[in-house]
Amino acid sequence: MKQSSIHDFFHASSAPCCQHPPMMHDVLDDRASWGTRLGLRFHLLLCGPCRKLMHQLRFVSKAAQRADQELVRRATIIQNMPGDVRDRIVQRVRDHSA
Amino acid sequence: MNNTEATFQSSTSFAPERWLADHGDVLWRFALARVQDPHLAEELVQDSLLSAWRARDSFRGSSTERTWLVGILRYKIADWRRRNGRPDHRHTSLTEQRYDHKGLWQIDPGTWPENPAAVMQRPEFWRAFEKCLARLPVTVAEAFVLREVRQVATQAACETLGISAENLWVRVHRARQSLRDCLALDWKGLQGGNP
Repeated sequence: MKQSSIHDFFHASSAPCCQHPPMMHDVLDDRASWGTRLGLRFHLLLCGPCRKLMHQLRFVSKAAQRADQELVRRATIIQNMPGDVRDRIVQRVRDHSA
Repeated sequence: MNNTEATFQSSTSFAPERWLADHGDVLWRFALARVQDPHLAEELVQDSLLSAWRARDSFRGSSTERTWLVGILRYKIADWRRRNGRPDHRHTSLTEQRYDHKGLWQIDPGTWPENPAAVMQRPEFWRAFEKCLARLPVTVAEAFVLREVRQVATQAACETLGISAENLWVRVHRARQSLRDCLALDWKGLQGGNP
């Protein structure tokens, strides 16, 4: 277990940038080993674009955690069903359910 | 009170007209927020009411009437997406173009605002977020909404979707990456969020 985390550290700190996004997701989901976590942190210290990507993925995660509340709130302030839509639906539902 | 309202009030219990009077606005908002198209939202609400009418005997009152109707509408939306939704390959190809043959960055991911909380105060951000969420393939979106948005525990989410934990995480990661790509492309408020 320890050995594999050390391996994860070296892998995360030395892998090319294209291999880092899956590690970033694992870190955000709290599924990464301490080796991956530490190695990625080390890589992010040195790599600006990866640091930006990590910030952006974290941003999306935070937004997702607020999305339920926000989308429901938005749904309550957007317009009610327009009268003509309501009338058309009533008419069609009557026709079909008769 | 207009004619329609008068008709609703004279309708018997379980009549679709009464459902529309009591829950129409909620169903409409729910559909519109997800499909972003008033004509399609109208069609989906209508289909849901008809399906509910045909399956009215199955409503046992274990949930509220509104929850039951929203559940049917949710299924109609998922079904519509399944029939019409195609995975958006645009973002995949963008991801591939991002790195050179050595796996190093060749297109900078751009700089997003430092303070997510301030961005999330803006209604335009949520409009863009919703639009991007609606573009995800349905299986990916379902996994993301369950796990990330609703914060359902991994095991429960896997049971709901009938998939393995590994598969769930693959979908969640794909959704998060696609949302990032979509927001960077579609929402100017994140500039310079280059793809």
